Amino acid sequence: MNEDISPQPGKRLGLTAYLLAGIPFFAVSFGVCFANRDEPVLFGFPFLLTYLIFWICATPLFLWLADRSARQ
Amino acid sequence: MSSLVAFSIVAAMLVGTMAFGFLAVGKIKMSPQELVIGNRSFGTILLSLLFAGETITSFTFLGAAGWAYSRGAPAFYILAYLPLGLIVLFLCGPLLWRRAREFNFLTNADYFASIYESRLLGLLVAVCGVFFLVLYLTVQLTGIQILLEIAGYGSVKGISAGAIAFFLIVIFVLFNGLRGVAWVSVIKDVLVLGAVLFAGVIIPIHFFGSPLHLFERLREAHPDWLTLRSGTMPNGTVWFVSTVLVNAVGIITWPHAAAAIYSAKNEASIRRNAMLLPFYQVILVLVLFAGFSALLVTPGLKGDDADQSFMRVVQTHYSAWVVGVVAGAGCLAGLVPGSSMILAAGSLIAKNIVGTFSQSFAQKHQTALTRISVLLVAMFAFVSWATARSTLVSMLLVAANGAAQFLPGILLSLSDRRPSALSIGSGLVVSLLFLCWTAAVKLPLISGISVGFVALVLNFAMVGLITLTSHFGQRLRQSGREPADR
Repeated sequence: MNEDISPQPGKRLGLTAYLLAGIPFFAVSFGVCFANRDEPVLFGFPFLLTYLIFWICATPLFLWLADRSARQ
Repeated sequence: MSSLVAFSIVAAMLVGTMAFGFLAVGKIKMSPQELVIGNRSFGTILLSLLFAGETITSFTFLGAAGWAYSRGAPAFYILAYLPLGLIVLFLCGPLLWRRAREFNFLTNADYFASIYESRLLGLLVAVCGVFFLVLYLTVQLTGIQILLEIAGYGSVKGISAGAIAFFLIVIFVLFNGLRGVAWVSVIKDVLVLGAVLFAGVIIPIHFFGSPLHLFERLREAHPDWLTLRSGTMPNGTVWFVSTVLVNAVGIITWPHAAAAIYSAKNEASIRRNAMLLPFYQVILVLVLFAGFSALLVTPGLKGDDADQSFMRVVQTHYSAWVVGVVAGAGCLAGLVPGSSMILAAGSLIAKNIVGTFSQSFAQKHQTALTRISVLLVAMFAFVSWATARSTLVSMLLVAANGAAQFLPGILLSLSDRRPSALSIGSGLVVSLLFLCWTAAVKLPLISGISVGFVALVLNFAMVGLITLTSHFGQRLRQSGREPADR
């Protein structure tokens, strides 16, 4: 069973990785307190919604950078 | 006539999806490990499909629109907690997976029992886990019932139709296990995407010209609808942040999410899965558009009926086959996560509850025992849903917030100095008692903070208190013994 899994050493996430992953984490949670506005309206969207969509789409980028920063 | 068309489409979609699942899984030999965690063999794609399948449920489908309809901006929490959960998964998932493979864990109760060296703690986690899963299953059943009633145009009682749909999926789970659930998620995720694009793009274009005009109209009709109330007011920003955090940790604390983590082939596929999924989850914005549109098109739905808002619009303004396709996609969104919940509950009973009392028996017949437990859980969930709905609704918050209470045990197990089983167990018990009390007195908020978050703080505090007390007690005993030794 599971012969295809070689015993590879896991990546260790360093401080940089935690900081990078922490940025979208705080933006989508605590950041909402500061983005709770309707104005400025972008493309008709309320600002709070634009803010959330932006950070959701930016999350993969930050996670990718965090992954890159981790040592093998 | 309409009901016949819509119903046949829903039935065809359900049966077709399951047939696809049977074909995809084929003749893989079922061991407990294969049944419950797909033999730890899922790569990035299958894992992403499974996580997308599990996190976008019929509650997200109907509830997000319902919240947008009845509450406005607070509905954004459903949008926010999913990517937040993926960040938690990215950071903790690989570490949990590594231990699970090293010690061959199948369930999250295995994790607690083994890491904290206490079968009693494992039993406690298993019993609570099954309880939460059954409650969460009933939410999915209610969602499926709503969709089937809409597809029946009032001619069908959802309970009987729901019963058939539900037992079809039980049979499917028994034979195909988690791998089957992951494969049928392919169809489910695509169909949900289609339904959501229809609901969030076509409906606003049809009624308002474009999604942007939707917001103009919404601002005129409900000026305060698109922002949260400030601070500690009900559904205010404090509530938002605390709710989002409690829900986000669910991605590592729910038993069925733990099974999904363990099913990964390697650590990299868990990380890549977390990097990919936000792109899929962002489509939930469109569900919010559907809810906002429904508010302008058919205002006046109150209470639970708000959850049906956008389906009512589809039913009134579009032809029967559209209703069928959207309802079918919604049903799959309930049945797919439902099957992984049944599976997780079944394995908890077989391995951790029966296994605590008779280990040799449980090990010898584990696959059969898991299957029997799956049947029992499904039957129990269905009967309690059909007979005691209102009681279940009031306990639902206990389940959603309760699953998050496994967090201290998971998080602190990753630290160098892990606490004792006693401290983790008492933290869990105290926080759950607190949640039951808040449900009994109908208290959703404490000074603006969601009770789930308060319970989590209480939980951590209790763990700290017991750890400190036992540490202090040990020191006292040692210093008491020392003079006698001399």
